[in-house]
Amino acid sequence: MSENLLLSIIQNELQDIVGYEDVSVREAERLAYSLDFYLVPQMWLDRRQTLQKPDFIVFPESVAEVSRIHKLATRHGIPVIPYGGGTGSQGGVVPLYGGIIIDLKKMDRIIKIDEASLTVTAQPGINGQHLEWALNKKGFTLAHYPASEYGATLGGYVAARGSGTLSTKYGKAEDMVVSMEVVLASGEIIRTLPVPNHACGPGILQLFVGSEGTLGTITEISMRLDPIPEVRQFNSYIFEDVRQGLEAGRRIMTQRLHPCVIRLYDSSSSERVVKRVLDLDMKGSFMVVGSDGDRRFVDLEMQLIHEICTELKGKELGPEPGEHWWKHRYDFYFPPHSLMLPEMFGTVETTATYDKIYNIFKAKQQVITEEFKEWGTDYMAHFSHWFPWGVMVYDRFLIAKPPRDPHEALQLHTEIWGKAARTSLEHGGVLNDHHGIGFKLGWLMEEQYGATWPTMQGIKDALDPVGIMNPGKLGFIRRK
Amino acid sequence: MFLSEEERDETIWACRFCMMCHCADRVGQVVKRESYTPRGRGAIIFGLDEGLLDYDEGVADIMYTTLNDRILQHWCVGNYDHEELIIDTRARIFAKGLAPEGVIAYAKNLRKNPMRGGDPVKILSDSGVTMDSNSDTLMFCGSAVRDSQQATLIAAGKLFNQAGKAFKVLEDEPSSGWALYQLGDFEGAKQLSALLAEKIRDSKVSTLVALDADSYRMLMGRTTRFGGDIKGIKILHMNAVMAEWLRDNQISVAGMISDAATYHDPCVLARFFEDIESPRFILSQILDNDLKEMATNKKLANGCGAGGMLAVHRADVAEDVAVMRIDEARETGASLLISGCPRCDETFKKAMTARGTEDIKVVNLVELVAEAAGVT
Repeated sequence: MSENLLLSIIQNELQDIVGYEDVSVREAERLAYSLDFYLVPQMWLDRRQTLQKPDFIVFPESVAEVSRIHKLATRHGIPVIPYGGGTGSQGGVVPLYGGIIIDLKKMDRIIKIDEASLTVTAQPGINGQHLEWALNKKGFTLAHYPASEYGATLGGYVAARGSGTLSTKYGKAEDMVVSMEVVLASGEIIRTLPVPNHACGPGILQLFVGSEGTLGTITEISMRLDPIPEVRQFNSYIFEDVRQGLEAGRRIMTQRLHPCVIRLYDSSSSERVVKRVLDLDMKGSFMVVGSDGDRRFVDLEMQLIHEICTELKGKELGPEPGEHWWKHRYDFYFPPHSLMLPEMFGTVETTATYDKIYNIFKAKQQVITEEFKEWGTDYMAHFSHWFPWGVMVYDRFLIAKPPRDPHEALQLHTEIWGKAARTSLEHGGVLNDHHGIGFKLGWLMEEQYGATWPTMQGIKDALDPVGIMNPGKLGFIRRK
Repeated sequence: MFLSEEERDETIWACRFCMMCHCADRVGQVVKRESYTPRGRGAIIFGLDEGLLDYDEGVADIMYTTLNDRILQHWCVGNYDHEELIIDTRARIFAKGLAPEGVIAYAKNLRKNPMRGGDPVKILSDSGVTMDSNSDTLMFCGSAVRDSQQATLIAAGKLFNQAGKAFKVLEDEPSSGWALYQLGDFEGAKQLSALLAEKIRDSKVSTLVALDADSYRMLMGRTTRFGGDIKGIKILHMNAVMAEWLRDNQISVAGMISDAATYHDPCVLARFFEDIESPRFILSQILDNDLKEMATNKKLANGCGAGGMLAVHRADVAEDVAVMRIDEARETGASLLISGCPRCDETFKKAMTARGTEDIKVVNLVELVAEAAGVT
């Protein structure tokens, strides 16, 4: 029990809502909930600095309980942070101002699988891999394969506007979502229209997709499904340089083929991948491409892709690298293979139209490797989420030996992120493609949106006038 | 004790920020709290080491709510031994006297009464099993078959007899110390390891056949590490022995089992010793139908709920884990859930009784072989 009277009162009220056992103020739990997959809070803990902890962690089991928690929080003006798997890399669930973490993992039921319409309705706390396994048993797939799949939740997929490795065909989370139920800051429970496409005014649904808990708590989601494809085939090519690979990808997409994946690596990444998987010393830009579905379509699609790639002098390397990548696609996210402390790193990815993407890639490569040369900064990139109009560059910086002093390290980290993000914006990109904003990039949102930003802030103020919903995220001004 | 300082630090480093095993973590799925996941525990242990947290009741509750069944290590591409890190942390908690009351009471009782359960000599004699006090083979029963799973003990004895293999058991067989090791009572585990080793040496045997998987793992390494001297004695598990007997026609199958059956791989046998073939060979010899494999099987089989002595502190969580595994078995369409470890059987049966489950029957592999051999 807290020694602070107000906090003790709030704790009692929370216990009245969810029960005594489902409110935690334990020190150990408060520590565990004070960080997510974002490097900075991890580094802060690693360097024995003080993390802001939540005051309470609660585990509701129903939308009614979530609603009552919101009402309580609004009445007391205490922050509420919806929490799924805690796998986000942008600090989206870090309780910057303390408050109540609503861990949604007890709301993890599959409510309905509509086998006629190919939709699934589930609660937000269901683990992504568990949902996928359950769907697979019935012959379906969500076809959302983010690297965080083993730990993330369905609510997190949608709240962070996430993307999976086969997004080129199946879309991002925002393309898969059909409808949802949301508890607003006031405690009011709303539902979006039952279908995502309509001509009934602006889409309220998409307002909450990617809102990262700043506009409400998502309590139920319907998602589109796909049948498990009959076949999934891969091929791979090496191009003389990344521009040819980009052109091949552009032609594939603008000729309206529908590969499930195109992964094009920059030259330094290509050499490493080709050496590791094929044990070949080859220079150039390496591409893995895949197609899935009905065998007849796939055969034809792979043939058409092959024609495009060879026309651009891509040398065919066969299916093995793609098959290897698919089988081991998550291995690099396990320690010790993943990027981890004590290294400093960040994925500064962005998306742009085809006419701009190469310039963005080159500009960011130059900024990161040249301006932070004294730190021996490494830069690596691949292009892996392709759209009919453009592509994402998944680029990362890596500093093997960053400053030990946490404040100095944070300053360097902020500086790199600021320069990388602003370079994206200056060249026609956006702050982020699929990891979200959190507080890592929130401070740059006003720069990104410019004259549109007051509209965004206005929406936030209208939906959350007291400012309880996940303050400090997405760049919104915190109301006291 | 079982992780070097370097291994311990690396495991904390790896686990404290990694969520890649969340989907494989049964306890996390039942408790549904971040702090009860490997990542949560990793961060908490780091906090304890660095003086950012104090050992308290909350920490103890988290550390004693684990399965330690090696699924996490097996799932982990980096192969970090999270389970042993937890046992190490439990030992620190236990040494500080901060373990949950139920754990302390259980350990105290086991230290005081290491031979609890029935007398195996009497159980076997009463069932008409012949033993030979001059045999150089000892059957180590384990507490579960001395107690609630005596049918497995009797079936094993009858199979020894049918195979024409002389054997004996310890009249006053003590626990192997496995439970105390898991609970972090390393002093108690040392005492029981020494006691058991002394009794085994006094029995003057060259071969020991373990009936339960946990004792088997203890005898295969931990007993010695805790100071019990059993060097030179060949340790086998009953599954491997039965497979050998079937291969050599030392036991004959009188009637095939016609029930639809699935097999639960005990964590110790499948993951620690990677014996996934012996039971499947045995079943191929005695089942009329093909074995129905569960969605998770062999080295990635989900646990039964008995791991880590979880039930001592959180019987409710252990029961939920058992029910999840029973559900996996049910999904295969099997009417028989066969296990290779009496402690798994005991856990499944308890959960089924508690939930009123009657559509699937739990049977130990030893009992099933005895039934097929016509010796029950």
